Amino acid sequence: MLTLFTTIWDFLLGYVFYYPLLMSYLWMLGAALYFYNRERHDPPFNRPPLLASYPPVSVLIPCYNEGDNAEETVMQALKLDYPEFEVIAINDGSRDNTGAVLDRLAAQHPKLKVVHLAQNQGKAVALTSGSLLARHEILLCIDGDALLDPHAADWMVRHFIEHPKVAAVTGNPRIRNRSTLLGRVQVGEFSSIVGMIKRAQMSYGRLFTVSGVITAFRKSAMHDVGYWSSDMMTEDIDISWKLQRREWEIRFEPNALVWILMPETVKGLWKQRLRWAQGGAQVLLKNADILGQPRLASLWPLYIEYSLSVVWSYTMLMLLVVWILDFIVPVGWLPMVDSPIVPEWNGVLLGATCLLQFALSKWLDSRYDQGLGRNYYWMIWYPLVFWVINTATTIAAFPKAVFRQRGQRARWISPDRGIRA
Amino acid sequence: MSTQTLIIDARHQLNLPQRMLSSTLTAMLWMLWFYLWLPALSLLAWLSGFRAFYQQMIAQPVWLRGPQTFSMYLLTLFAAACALALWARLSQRQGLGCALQQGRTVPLFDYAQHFGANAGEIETGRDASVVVVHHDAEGRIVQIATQTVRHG
Repeated sequence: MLTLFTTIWDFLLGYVFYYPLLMSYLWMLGAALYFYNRERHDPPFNRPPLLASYPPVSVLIPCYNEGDNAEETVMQALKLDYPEFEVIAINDGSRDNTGAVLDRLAAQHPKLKVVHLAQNQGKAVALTSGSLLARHEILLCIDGDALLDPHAADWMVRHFIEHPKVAAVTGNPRIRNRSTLLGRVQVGEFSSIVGMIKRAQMSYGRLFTVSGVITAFRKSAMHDVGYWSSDMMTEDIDISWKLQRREWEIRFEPNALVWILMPETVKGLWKQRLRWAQGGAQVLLKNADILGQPRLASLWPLYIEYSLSVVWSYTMLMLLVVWILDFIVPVGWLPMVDSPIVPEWNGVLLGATCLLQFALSKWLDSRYDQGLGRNYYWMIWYPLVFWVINTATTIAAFPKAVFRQRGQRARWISPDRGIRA
Repeated sequence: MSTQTLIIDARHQLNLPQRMLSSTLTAMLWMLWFYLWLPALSLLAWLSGFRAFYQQMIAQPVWLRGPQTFSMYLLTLFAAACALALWARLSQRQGLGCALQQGRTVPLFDYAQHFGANAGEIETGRDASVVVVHHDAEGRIVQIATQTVRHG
């Protein structure tokens, strides 16, 4: 019995150490492969290649209480360097002056259409309503505080032309606000984690999620899957799974840039990460049935990897509890956990891996975001603080997702947008 | 458009103690990180217990555990990467649902039917500059009304 317990304990210790290590190298390898096979052949992002055709595009911008940002966002979207497009701003029953700002802009710009929802409905319903009123087959969706790069549409549309199976193409969000420590760490995070994982997942077959802040969709594919779900905390993860379950393809396009605002307070960051984790857990629960469907075998690795990361978070919590209890209970009652204060070679390996991952990702994204290397100094916070926040939100989010009522409408949570100049 | 003009670096809006704190703490964290790398110079390691330190760093250094450890790491990594790539290739077949839709744009009538909305209202709404959409409690569209806008 004791041997079995020791074996399980050793396995858990090994899992906590080896799982992130293996995933880090898998991501790096996958991202490097993606760069070698696809990205390195591309011209600079501001000189997109000529396309065989330019199908018209509808840019959808759902807005809720975006009075401070709506004008800048819409005006930037109207600067899109693309032959034929319309911009549709959807005011989701905002309580501030968003509606008045959009109406004023609509009177000045014929390419802008404003859709007011009589009552607040949530982002999923806002997007769905906007897509119904969109004239064109390609829907380029961005957030109400996001600034679209003028060349983004060219880069995204090329995938839809290339293959009729492509239902969605997600872009490369870059962070604008870099005043505080939190802002600067997130700049690196969006390269080291978000961008790197998306590149790697492209190499290994399927994407876990598109980025809600910039994704282009094929409208007929959205109709096929019943549009965005109004009860999911993160509509972007959910729609990615809905599309892939119907065997549509989703892709990542690193040249399609959008400039976004992120929280610069710990409270704002916590709320945002908790919502992301809760959305991930909801999708995990909703799609558990895929494991019994060989037809959806291409999604199994994604599902298993996300499940393992949730298990990893809980295992970390357990080890932490045991380590703390070890100071309280008599010696020998609990299994040994090495002191985190004594450095070991494992720590050296993990530390080196982490720094290597940051370096590689910054090099990959430096094509799109100049001077990214200067941000490296601040990245030291990521493994020491952000890992803790992300692990804690995963632990807190899972029971919330389990006990959340199915069908309960997900409403907007206006995030903190950091320091403005 | 220069992407640099989109970046907001308003560090001057933080007061001096805030700026000092974040820079100093970051430098300290780097030192802590280097401590992982240079354990021989770390006083904390010795304070934490010479025996444990000796056991981990000197008696059983990683290179004495044999090159097989690293080769096992590498083998696991490449096996996992190859398995994932192979799995992706074998498992991605074009499915029925997707195949039925490919290359087909959805007629307006189908949209109207799906949303339970009036096709005429949708068409008028698509041509209008400002539209107001009314939903019921379940989020279903009940009315699409257009507003006239005078372009300035």
